[in-house]
Amino acid sequence: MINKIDWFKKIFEEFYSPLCNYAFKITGNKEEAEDIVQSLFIKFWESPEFNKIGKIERYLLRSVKFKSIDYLRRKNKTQQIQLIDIHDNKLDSGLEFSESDIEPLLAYFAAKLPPKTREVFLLSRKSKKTYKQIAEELNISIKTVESQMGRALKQMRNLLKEHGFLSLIISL
Amino acid sequence: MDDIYNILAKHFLGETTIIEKKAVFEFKSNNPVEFKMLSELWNKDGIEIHEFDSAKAWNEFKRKIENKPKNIIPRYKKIHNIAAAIAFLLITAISIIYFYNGFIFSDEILVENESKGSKQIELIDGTEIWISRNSSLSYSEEFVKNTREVYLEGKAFFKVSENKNHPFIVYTDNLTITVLGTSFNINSAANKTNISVKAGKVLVESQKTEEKIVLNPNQSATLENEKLTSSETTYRNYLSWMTGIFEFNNTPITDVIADLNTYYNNRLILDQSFKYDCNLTAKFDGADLKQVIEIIETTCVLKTVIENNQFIIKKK
Repeated sequence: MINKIDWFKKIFEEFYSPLCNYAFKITGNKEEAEDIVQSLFIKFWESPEFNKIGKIERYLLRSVKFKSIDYLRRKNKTQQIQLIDIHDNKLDSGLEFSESDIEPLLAYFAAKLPPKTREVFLLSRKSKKTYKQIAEELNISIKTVESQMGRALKQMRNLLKEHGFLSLIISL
Repeated sequence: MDDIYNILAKHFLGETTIIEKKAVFEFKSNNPVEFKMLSELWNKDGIEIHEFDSAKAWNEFKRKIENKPKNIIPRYKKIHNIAAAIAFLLITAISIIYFYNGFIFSDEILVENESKGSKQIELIDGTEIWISRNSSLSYSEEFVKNTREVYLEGKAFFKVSENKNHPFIVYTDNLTITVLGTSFNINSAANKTNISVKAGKVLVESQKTEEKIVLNPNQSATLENEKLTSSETTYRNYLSWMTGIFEFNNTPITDVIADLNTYYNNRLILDQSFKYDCNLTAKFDGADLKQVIEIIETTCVLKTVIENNQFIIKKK
């Protein structure tokens, strides 16, 4: 059986940077984002329930979201009201996602991609390069570019599914 | 054939061949929602990744956890064990399930009950909570320091240990419930939140309208269509989902079945193609489901068919 500290190290390595990206997108403050994620891991470590949390990713994302919004609330009261309004609108319309949910999630998604996949993904989505240009620049085959991009898309889909976007829409 | 996601990724960027377009079209007609979402997100601009030093942060994490005193939790527990009075609280809230609901906790622990029965947990202040199936509870790990706050989706029974300096607060999607006195219950039915007090005092506040009601023993509050009302408690079986003890007093058979299903995991189905005019007066004490059904069959002249581990009850 894996011991607690090793298990935490694994979780930490996997989630630290993506969660910081997520928190940064909400708070707009790099240091605050790191503080939020760091103290979440401390709380997680100290919790007697730490090994009873089934869906770790969901728990971590949820907690980072709460903390980030809490930070905004403390910093600026009007900001919080705005966020809650967006939230309510989403409930009413059902089918639209709110920007406040999607942008942090996309930052998290991109940061969580495996390094090779991420490199290809960013060249395509950020630098707007074609598959051919990417293949040439990275000195890999077009087929590899295709499969890396497909992997990224699949990961995006899994994240949406995990967080209920897909099931929510289908059930409406 | 390539993975459909490879093809979709190309399609969204306008790189597909004619043969591939066919596969895309097929996927689109089978999964219109997923297709729409992915195409919107995939082409979204402004994705940026910032570098965060995970190794440095891990060292800091290790240093912090090694320097922390280890006996914080037991100490709290001891203090609260001295407080002898216990508050009871049952809450049920039907909540809409959507992505991330709630803004209340900054650092929370989530406990979900996906099992078939109720699940019991104990918080560090000594409060015991029974969480109903398909329900979840979140609470802050620091919750004893200021106010004791928990957030509930679904149904749960609370046995709250008393602490005058730190009120116990339960949040549902639309209500804030504060424990004022010693002993009480909260409960609900479909599309509304309902709270019933057994003994003691509870403050119920609508988060939207800020309307407040104080409940005393044997009183209930209901939130429905944003309206908060209170009345005397007449419903007896609000704890039955957990205890299996049912009391029916001239209760219509449809209500009997609905109540029983809260404990027997929706295994009873009343055939809706008949009209039933039978009222039942009976007491069940965690009985075997077959025995319960036999009593209902005899009293109301019904018969039961078993299908897929469910009991379908119809007229004889």
